[in-house]
Amino acid sequence: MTLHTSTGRRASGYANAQRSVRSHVIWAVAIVATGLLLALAGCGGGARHQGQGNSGVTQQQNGGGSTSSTNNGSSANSNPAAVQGVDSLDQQSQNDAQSVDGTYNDANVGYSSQDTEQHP
Amino acid sequence: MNLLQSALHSAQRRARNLPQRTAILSATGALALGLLLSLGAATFVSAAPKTVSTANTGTCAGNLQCVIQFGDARIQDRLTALNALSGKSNTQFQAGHITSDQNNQIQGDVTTNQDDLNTLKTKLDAETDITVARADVHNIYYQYRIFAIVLPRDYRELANDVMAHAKDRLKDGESTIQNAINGAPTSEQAQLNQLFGDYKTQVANAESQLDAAQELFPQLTPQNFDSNPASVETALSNIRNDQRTAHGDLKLAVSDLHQIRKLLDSGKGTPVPGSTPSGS
Repeated sequence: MTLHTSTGRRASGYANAQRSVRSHVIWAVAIVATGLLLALAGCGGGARHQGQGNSGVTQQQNGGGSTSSTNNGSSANSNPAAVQGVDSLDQQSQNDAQSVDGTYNDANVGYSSQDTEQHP
Repeated sequence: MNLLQSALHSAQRRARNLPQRTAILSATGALALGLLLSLGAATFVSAAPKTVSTANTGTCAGNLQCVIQFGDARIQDRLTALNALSGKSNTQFQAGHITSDQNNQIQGDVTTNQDDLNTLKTKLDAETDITVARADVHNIYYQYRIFAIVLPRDYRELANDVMAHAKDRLKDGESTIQNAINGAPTSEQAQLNQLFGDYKTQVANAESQLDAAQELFPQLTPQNFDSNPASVETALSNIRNDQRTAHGDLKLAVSDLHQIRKLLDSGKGTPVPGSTPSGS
């Protein structure tokens, strides 16, 4: 009985030891996985910082302080600010075109008939 | 006897036809003379220098007040036309389509001519001699050349200035367009670059046409018109052709730009984080 009890105690201690090992393994795996994720995130951030991001875009700093982006396969424009600039340029140019047409038409008016001298 | 009678009949026939022949000859002569005179007169009119008609043969005959009123009306036509030009130039300046210098040049020309015409009006209104009044009316046409030179030249200059402004804006925007195309999806870049290539060509063509026209404006003066009207007409014709081409070039460039914009907008998608404004 005692043995049994003793054996029972040993068996109970073994089970506890196994649970403890499992718990440590899980924690270890979790820590390693977290470390790997952090490392991957760090690599991704570093790559973007160097100009290569996840969106397939290469950016170059221009002399004037502006940025020129080259799209390497993304379906979105990598330089929305430039697209906005083109939108604005298009609107202004449409407005200019109306003035151009108006003044060009005025310049084509013929005045020669009014220049013919009449004798009162 | 028969011979005598025949000779007598012949003489009578000639005697009867004589007035008829004389009339025909006279009419033919008069007709020829008339033709010659009219040809001569026409030649004289076209070759003669443009001088004032002082004879009382115009619509006013010998009525001095009628001549003055006629001249005042012609002056008013010119003042009104110059006012219209002034207004159009101011409108373009206020819209930012021409510079203050460009506007001032046109306004200065308008003011000078208006002042001169008003001085002439004052003189004309005070005339007491119909011959002098007719000379004043003549000067409305030949001294100032408002309709012959001033208005055609100034309206062409205004058009050139406005087109040059539009061209400058298009040219200045080339780097922005280039940046937007660089950022576009690869699949769209061939079409965008083709449009952009044509855009740059049209802008460059417009620029050269406008520059060529600009160089000709100094030739368009009332003095040159009087001394060498053919060369002034050639210069005006060249300006007209240059501007026609430039106008077409600009319209094509604006059309290219609009197509570029539509393509870019279709692929705008989600903004890329971290990208900064470029060339706008």
